[in-house]
Parts: sequence; C-alpha cells; structure tokens
Amino acid sequence: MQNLSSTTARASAVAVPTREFLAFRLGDEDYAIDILKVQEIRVFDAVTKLPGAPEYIRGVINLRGLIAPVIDLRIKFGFKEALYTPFTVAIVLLIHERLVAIVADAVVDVVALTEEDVKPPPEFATSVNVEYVIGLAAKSENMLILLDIERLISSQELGIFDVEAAI
Amino acid sequence: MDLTRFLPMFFQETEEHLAAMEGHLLRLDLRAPDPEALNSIFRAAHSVKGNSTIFGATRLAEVMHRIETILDHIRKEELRPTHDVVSLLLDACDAVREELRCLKDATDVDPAALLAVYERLTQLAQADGIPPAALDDPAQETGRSARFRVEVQLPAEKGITALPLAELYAELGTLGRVEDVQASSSASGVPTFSLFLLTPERQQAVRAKLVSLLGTDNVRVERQQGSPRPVTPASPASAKRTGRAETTAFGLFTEEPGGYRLDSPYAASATQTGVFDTSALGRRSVDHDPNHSGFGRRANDRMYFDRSSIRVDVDKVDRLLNLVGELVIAQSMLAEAAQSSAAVQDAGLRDSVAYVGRQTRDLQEAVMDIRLLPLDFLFSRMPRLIRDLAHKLSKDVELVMHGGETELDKELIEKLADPLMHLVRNSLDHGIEPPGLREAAGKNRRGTVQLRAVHRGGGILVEVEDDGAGFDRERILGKAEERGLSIHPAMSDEEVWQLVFAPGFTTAEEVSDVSGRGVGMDVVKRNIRALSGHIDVRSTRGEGTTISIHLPLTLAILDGMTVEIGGESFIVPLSSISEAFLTHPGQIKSITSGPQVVQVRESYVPVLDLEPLLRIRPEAARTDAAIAMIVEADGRRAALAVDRLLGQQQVVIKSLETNYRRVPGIAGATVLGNGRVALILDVSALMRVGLAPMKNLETLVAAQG
Repeated sequence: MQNLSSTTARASAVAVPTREFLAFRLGDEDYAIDILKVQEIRVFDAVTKLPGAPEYIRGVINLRGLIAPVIDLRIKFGFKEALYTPFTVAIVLLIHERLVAIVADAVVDVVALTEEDVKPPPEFATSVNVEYVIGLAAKSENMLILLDIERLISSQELGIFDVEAAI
Repeated sequence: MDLTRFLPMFFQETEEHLAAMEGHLLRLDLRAPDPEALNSIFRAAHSVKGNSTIFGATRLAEVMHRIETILDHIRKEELRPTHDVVSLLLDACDAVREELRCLKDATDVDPAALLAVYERLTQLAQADGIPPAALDDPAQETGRSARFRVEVQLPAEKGITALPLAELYAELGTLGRVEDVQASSSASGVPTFSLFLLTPERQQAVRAKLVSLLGTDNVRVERQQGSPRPVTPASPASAKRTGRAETTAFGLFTEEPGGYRLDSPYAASATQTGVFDTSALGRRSVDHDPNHSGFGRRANDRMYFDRSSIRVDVDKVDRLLNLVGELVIAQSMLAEAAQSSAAVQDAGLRDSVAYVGRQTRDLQEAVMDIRLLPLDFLFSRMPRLIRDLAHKLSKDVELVMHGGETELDKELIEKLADPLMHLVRNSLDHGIEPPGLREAAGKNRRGTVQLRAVHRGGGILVEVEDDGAGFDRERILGKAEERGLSIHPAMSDEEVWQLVFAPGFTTAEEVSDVSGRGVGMDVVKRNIRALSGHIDVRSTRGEGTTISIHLPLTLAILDGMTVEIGGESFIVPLSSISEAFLTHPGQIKSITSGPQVVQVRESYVPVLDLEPLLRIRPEAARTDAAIAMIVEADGRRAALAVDRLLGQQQVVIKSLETNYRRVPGIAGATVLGNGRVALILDVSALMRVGLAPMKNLETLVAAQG
C-alpha cells in the first residue's frame, strides 16, 4: 500500500512539471515570481531620481554601466508604508530584453511549485493589481502570491517602457 | 577618378568571400547538400565575380563564373557534389587566392595554376553531360530576352568613378544580365564605357533607366540581332571546347604571354596606366595618373593590405567602449579613495593612481578612436548628387571638397548624411543662381559649392558654402510674418537667418521637386540637434551663404559640467554653457511676481524654471545665493539657477531608453565616479518648454532696458 502511494506520487511529480519561483516579501505579504526572469539580487542603494516619473518609479541605478529603472511595487500596490532599511533589496529582472529592478523588503526563498500547488486567485472586481496575480500557493507557512511579473512590468499602466516597446 | 583606392576593399572582401566559400564547401554534406549552404557559396562566388569584373580582374571573374555554373548544376541536382568536385572547387579557391596575392603584392602572376583549374572546371561542366555551350548560352537562359549593346559617353570632366560604375552594374543587374563591361577613354579624353545587357525589357526602358542613372544623355542603346556575342579575340581551341559564352570573356587566357601578365596593372611601380591597363586587360582603360594612384602609394606600404584592417561588429566595439567606461569609473573611485587622509601620505600610491588615470584616459581615447571613420564616406556621395541636380536645374556648378579625411564617429556620419545632402541640395536650388543671372551680376557663370570639414575645439565643423545669391533678409521677414512667426524690425541678421529653421518655412517662389516645400530646414536642424550639434548661418546678399554644422566627435562621450540642483547631481553639456557666476542679492528679479530674469551686464536673461518640467528646485532659489549658469541653445540664452558647481569632466553617455523610456528635458544619463547615475540635461528641450511663454517678455525687457 505504501509502495503504491509512493509510486503514484512519483508518477504525478513526473506528470506535473515543477517550476521555480523566487519568493520575496513586500510589507507582510510574500510574493513569488518566475525565477527565470530574475537576473540578480543586489542591495538597494544609490538611486537617482527621475524627474517627472510617477512615485513608484524610484529612479535609476547603475548596473555595471547600464542604466535601469527601479520600481517600488509597494507604492504601486498602495502599501501604507514603504521603508528603506539595510535589508531592502533590489531584484533585477530581465523583461523583454530590458533590465528593470524592483524593490523588495527581503528575499524569502526559492520555491519549486507544481501546477497543483497553485490555486486560482479569488475574483476581486475592484483591484487592478489583482489582474497580474496568477494564483496563490501555500507552500511555505505564508501564502505566496504568484505575480505575472512580465506582464506587470511591461504593462502600459506601469508605463516603464515606451508604448511601442511594451509588447 | 580612379578605382585604385577601392582596391584594398576589393582584396579584403574577396578574401572574406573565399573564406566563406571554403567554410561552406568543407561542411557540405555530400549526400544531401544543404540548399542554403549552396546558395551561400553561390552568392559568394557571384560577389567575387562581380567585384572582379569591376576591377578588371577578368580572369578571376571567369573562374568564378565557371564555379557558379558548376554550383548551379549541383543546385539543380544535375551534378552530384562528389568529393572530387568539392576538392576541385577548393582548389579553385586556392588558385584564385594565389592570383589575388600576386596582384596584391604586385609580383608576377604564374597563370598556370589558374589556367589549370579553369580547364578542370570547364571539363567538369562538360562531364555532367550538359554541353557547356547550352549551359551558358544566355539566349537560352533568358528566354525571350533581347541583347542590347549599350554605349555611354560621360561628360569629359567627370571621369568614370568606381561607385557609380558599381551602382550602375548593380542596377542593370536588376534588369537583366550584364556582360563585358568595358571602360575606356577615347583619344579626346572622353571617358566612355560600353556593355552588353541581356534583358526582357524594351529598348526605351533600358535607355531611360540609364539616362536617369547616369545623368547624361550620351547613352546609345542598340538592339543586337540574334545574339552575336562580342568581340574579344578568342582562341579557336577554347571556343570549341567551351562554347560561345566562354570564348570571349575568357579570351585573356589564350592571349600571348605578354598580354597575359597582370603584374604591370597592379604594380606600384607601374608607369603604365594603373589597374585598367589596356595592354594587359585588353578591354579597359581609364585615365589614371600613376602619380596620384592611391594604390601605388599603398602597394609600397604592404601593411595596408595584409592584416591591417579587420571588420568588427559595431556591437563588439560598443561593448568594449562600455567596459572602458566602467574602467574609467573604477579608476575615479580609486582616485577618490587615494585622496583619503590615510592614503594621501603615500607618494608611491599617489603616483600609481595618477599613472593608472593617465593610462585609462589613453585607453578610452584609443577605443573611441575605433569608431571613427573619415568623412569621405559621406563626401563621396556628393559629386553625384551635385551633377544630377545641376543637370536637372540647368545650373553650372562646381563642387570643391576639403577635409574629407577628417574623422568622425560612424554613427554621426550616418546621421549626418541626410542633413548634409539637404543643405547641398538647398545650396544648388536656392543659392546658386542660373548661369544667365550670374553673368548679369558679374559673377562667374559657374557657381561653386564648397564642402569643408575641420577639427574645431573638441568637435568637428562641417560647412556647406555657396557663392550664390545669399539670403534675402526682407523676403525671409516677409515670409515669417505670413507664417505668423514673431518678428520685429530690430532683429539682427543672425536672428533672421534662424527663422529659416522654423517648421514649414520656405522662400522658394516655386515648389520644385528638389526643394521648396519647407519641410527641410527645421528637420535638418532637429537632426543636428539630436546629434548634440548646432547649426549656424552666415550669408551676404549677392555673395553667398555658408552653413556651418558643429558636431561633437562622438556621440558616446560628452564634455560636461557636473552641477548640483536641489540635492541631485546633473550634467550640463559644456558646449551649451556660456558662463556661470555667483549672483548677488537682488540680481535675480521677478516680473509680475512670476517669471524671473537675471541681469547679465547690459541685458536681462530669463531664468529657466526647472520645477514644472523636472520637479527640481534649487535650494538656493530663495536665498539669493544661487549660481547663475548662462546656457545657450537655438540662438537663445537662459539662466539656470544651480546650487553648486561640482566640476568639469568627460562623461560617457548612456541611454535611458535602453531599459526605460525617454524623459523630457533629459538627454541621457551617465555614471559618476562614485558609481551613481547622474542625468544629463537637454538644455535645448528645457528651453523650448520652459521659455516658450517668455519669448515676448524677453524682447519686452530688452526693448525697455
């Protein structure tokens, strides 16, 4: 019996591909994004403000000679506070061949999730931000909110890229 | 005009094509040849054939032609690419390469190898059972095509230039098959050339195309009956074996040994006529002064041909530039650290840091230098443009060019092409008067357009000068008024000339297809601005106009002043700063409690308010302790209030658009010595936005003051 169940478990593990996600913390919520989009994680410092940019675009940083914008999703998502501590990190993403950094309060973990782990998000009619949530997962003790980071970053609403560049 | 200066390119390109052919041949799967690979080999062979024809290396062209034939059979699966076939093709590449080397080194060519290969190639073409005559018979190849004999006489002073000839060749290639291009100078020194064209087009169409291409009416197109092949002496033996198509073109192989040697035409020491030596090549000759032969000079300088130039992907250069930029930053961080109190005692460290600094700057300059190209790349297009236009406008114009060797960033050269052509076009259309008018005004019938380039300061000055009618102040003012531009009678000439850069401005009485639609000068100006350059006009009525374009040497680097405004560092391009001074209390005055002006000697200069656009506000704005930095753009002046001047430095310009988007008022970004990003202010854009409502005010104040 035990034998049988373990076989089934193995079979299902083969059938459902697992994907790795980077989990990070914004305020007291944990988010997860496709790890293949993550280029590097670095300390958050030395941001140069961009004139006329919306508040959630903190500015630009120097990534070994390339200039990349820094997005604070906490502000975009309307968190009550967005503090910058020594633990604040910038997660550098490569989206449509462009480098964009997002601010996170901390990096939590790298988690492997199967499709079974991911539950569809409940439907909220009101929030635009929920549009970019793929699903919810309860892998660690905290609930993970899976973000479609590629769509979010290249969305016109965020306005990071010029319209024609956002695919 | 000679082709010789393009010879190094020919050698280099041919080398590359041969290498590509070899590569593909060696990888070719004999059982199932990849059609794409065959096509690549075919294309390479075809390019070599075309180039060889242009440069008169007829024997190479013929060998390549045979190779093409064989490849064509393989492509059509009429011939199996056995090991032997591939070996033969490789041998042919070797022989061609050897011949090239001899031509390059101006040593005697031993024809045996090439001839042997040629024979073998011909045999192969036969061996597959298809008679070569049929294979190569153009009449069969081209179906209903007719053969035309084309003879062109160029205006005596023009000569046959390489580029138009190459262009012509390519253009005619789209019509049909071009054969036996012959260039020669008649006894009277009139350059002519003739060729045969096999095309389904009609005679009139062929002629019209040629006339428009060449800008001369001296074009004769004759329809040839049947398809008698021209005209070179051919050996009967060769004719028998290879059929009609081969004989003529390959006649060289059968000539006596004396005419066979290619050493003289290519040799540096040749006292004959250079590349197109009639005696050796039989069918070409272009007037060509051996003393001015660029080839002659370079042939002595063997380095020039050998491994002296490589083609590199621009991206690679840019990556190198980027890395060096990073190194410069790392170096300035090091320099900063060496200034610290602990390190400052250490003379050895100080010296080393200074040394690293110098070396880094040298390295940076050397890398920048890679991107520079001579302006000749651009200037060489102009003679053709002038000739065509002068013809079209019935004007007599001479073009004088200076400084084509001046080097400029490749990207700048590319982006300068359109504006420069536009200015030249304008000079011809609006500047130079018709010959009759010129004579009446006591000028030479023939107008002169001068194109000059010189190094000036840290940048480059390109000028287009004509000795035409000059700008008409009254007419420009009249047109400006019509168009509702703000003018006043006291405007200086310089200000009036700037009006022609307004969108939609034209004084041309008639809209021609050359210019006069008023869609030009504003675009020219915008393009030049986009290259962080600026444009000046000097014009004297009746004497002519000079338009000067000032450009930085490269787009990758900028001389800038680092300033602090409202706690942030910004770079202001040095080229737009005219002066900076500490204001004393009360020097900045507000008008109607709104916009501010600062008194600079005799005049009042508007203070550019950065807050609405950039959301920055100088800390010193209210303390009267601001530094006023006077900036200039588009012929206007404005003052920027800054808190601190942090120093002048060269900065590597980085694009914000790579990973973000355009930011209004910001020209780009750079990385400072401390690793932080600083934004580069776009002074012109800031003034356009920030100053627009103040324009009238400025003149008002000036009038009162």
